[in-house]
Amino acid sequence: MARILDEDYAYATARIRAMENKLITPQQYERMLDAATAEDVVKMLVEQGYGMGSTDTAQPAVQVSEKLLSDELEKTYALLREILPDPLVVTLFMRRNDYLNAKLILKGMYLGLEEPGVYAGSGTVEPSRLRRMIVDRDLADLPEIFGKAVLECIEAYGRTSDPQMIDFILDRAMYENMEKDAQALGSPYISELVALIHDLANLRVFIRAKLLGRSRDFLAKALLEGSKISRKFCMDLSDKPLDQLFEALRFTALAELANGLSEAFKNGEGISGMEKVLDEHLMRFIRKSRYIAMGVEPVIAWLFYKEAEVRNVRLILTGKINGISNAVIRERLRAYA
Amino acid sequence: MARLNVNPTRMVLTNLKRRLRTARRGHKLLKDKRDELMKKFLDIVRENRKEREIVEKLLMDVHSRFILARALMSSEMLEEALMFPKQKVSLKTSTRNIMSVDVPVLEFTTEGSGEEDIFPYGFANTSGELDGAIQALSEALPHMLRLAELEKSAQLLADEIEKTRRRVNALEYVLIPNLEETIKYIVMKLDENERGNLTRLMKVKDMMLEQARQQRLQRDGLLQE
Repeated sequence: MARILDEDYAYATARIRAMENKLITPQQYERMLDAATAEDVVKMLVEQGYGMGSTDTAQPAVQVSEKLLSDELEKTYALLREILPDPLVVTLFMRRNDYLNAKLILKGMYLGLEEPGVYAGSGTVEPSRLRRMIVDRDLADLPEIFGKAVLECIEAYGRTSDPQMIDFILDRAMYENMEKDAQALGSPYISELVALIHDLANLRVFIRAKLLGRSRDFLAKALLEGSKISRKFCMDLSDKPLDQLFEALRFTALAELANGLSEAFKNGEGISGMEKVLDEHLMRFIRKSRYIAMGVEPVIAWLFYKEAEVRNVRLILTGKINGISNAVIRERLRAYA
Repeated sequence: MARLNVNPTRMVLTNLKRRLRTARRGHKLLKDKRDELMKKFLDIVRENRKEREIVEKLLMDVHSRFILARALMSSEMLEEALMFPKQKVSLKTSTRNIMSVDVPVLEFTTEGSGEEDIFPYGFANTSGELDGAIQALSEALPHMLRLAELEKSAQLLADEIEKTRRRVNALEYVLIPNLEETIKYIVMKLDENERGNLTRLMKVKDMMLEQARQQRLQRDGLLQE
């Protein structure tokens, strides 16, 4: 495959730059938080251009909000696929939904369900086709890592009857698959980004397992291979208290994270505070693309902004529907731009 | 008070007196049972209130944590994370006897790879808020079962108290007064008969004396002639 140059992204970058201004601003979030009802938030979102234009704002928010958000993500992915010279850049990230669907299918299968009931949209493989592939064990059309992982899940579930193993194996495979796709793309930025996502996920697993007091054996099963924060790095710290991790992090490529995590831990913010630190670190990395005139970086950055935006909007909508106080929502909103 | 429809005979009186004795004894026993049931009921209600407060607090906590987890994850992700529970819970039901009321006893045992193994999902792609929700829910389960046990016990005891109260009242306000009234009636009737007999006897005696006097007077008259 001919190497894709930054110039090939000229159109995509220009289009994305034009749309970056349409991302929801912190002031708009404040307006949403001040809205009286979730229905008002839905109206604001529709005005903002959310959804496929078919949202009925007269309906209660609880019925339309999830569709609105999944439509928005689908629209984002569709647009990126349309404007990017190489669709693999987006399919790499869309693959996450395939893995989620595979988990749904496998768990549904073992529960004896005909259909799992829900599927994640925006995958690279149609969920019904994926289901047929898994049921018939005809996995040749899937990436090799994916196919192997599905078979491994089937084998592991047969051996242990433990549904968690399905998540462990497919999560691990998903990040490996993303790393492999990133390598195939040959873009150092994407490789670095995927490695960072992989490491952050590994840290998240490690911190959660430690906070819940899980054993070393559990960690051995749950940890991802990781990139710079490797499985070995975490396993070496598995018997030590959690603050040792923050100390050890200071000597790694993710040294910047050490202070934030350690502070969140000391302030007793729990996993939600630490997850916020991890997410914000990723956003800081993404934000670096701001000064790149042309290339894949701004496009990917926009995808991540959009995902973070949808997450924030979901938080506000769910909060409004269920009457959660603004302070609790604000605490969990992720800043990205 | 209604009097029982009986013949006022001595035999019936004896029977009724025996019945009255039994009714009084039954009344006392039932009253004791009612008081004891009441005591137990109040204990259960007090515990029930405490347990309900705990459960409601825990469930509110679970609810708010689930909302936050739901707010940070898409519906598909949450569905995937929770669709297949890792731990199985089996519930054993038996009964315990409180003052002849069979109240339920619920015991649950968990089957899984470990006591703490309550999270059925992977940690890489799920929100940490979910852990708190699941943990809180798992803490709430024993309290919820205890609450179910207490509420059912309270309900069964309340039914039994109501039944016993009705019996006590029936004895106290209907059967015992009726028996007393009937006994009084029979005693009065018997006394009346007794008095009637006595009067009759006295009358007979008077008549016999009069007769004797007449006879004596006749005899004396004959002698004088």
